[in-house]
Amino acid sequence: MNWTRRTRQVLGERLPAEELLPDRLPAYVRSAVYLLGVLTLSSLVVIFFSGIVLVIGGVQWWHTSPLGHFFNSLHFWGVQLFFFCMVLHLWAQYFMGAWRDGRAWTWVSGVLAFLVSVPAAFTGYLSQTNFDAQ
Amino acid sequence: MVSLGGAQHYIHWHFIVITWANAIVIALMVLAFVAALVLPYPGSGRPVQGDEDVRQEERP
Repeated sequence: MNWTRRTRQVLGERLPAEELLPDRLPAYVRSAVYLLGVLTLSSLVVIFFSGIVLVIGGVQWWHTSPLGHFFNSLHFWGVQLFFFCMVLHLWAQYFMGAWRDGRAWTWVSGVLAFLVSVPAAFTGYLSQTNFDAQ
Repeated sequence: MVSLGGAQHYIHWHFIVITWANAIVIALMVLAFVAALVLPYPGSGRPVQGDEDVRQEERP
């Protein structure tokens, strides 16, 4: 079997097309607890794009201009929201035992995201270029 | 406005030493977690079209 066919077969088994982008969900999903993960992802999108804007503008820009201050704040509060929601999502998934029933790799992806985010957050302290950065 | 550049205020309780800012954030997280579990989800009492066959589904 060639690799393209094998890849297609594996993807077809792991991510069946008829189960992607579902328009119906089980009743138990109707809880705010299930919003925590998507809130984490949404804040990550805000962090990502505001971070790109900060990089383009540069240190002088985000420390001195009103628009720079705005994007600096947007990035800062995005990170606060990201960690707030990520930790609550972690609590929720831990108490739900979200690693069970073949979802181990989903759990591992969360662990990796957590382990990457914590050191990445320290880079934000550097961007303050103050005593905290030192 | 709260000054973020000033001196930190600490809570000392036996061996636990934590800034007020961190303690407030942790308290808010616990509150938000409990609220997310306890508060009814908006529209949870309303049946959704096409949802009848999955409403009784058991939690995995």
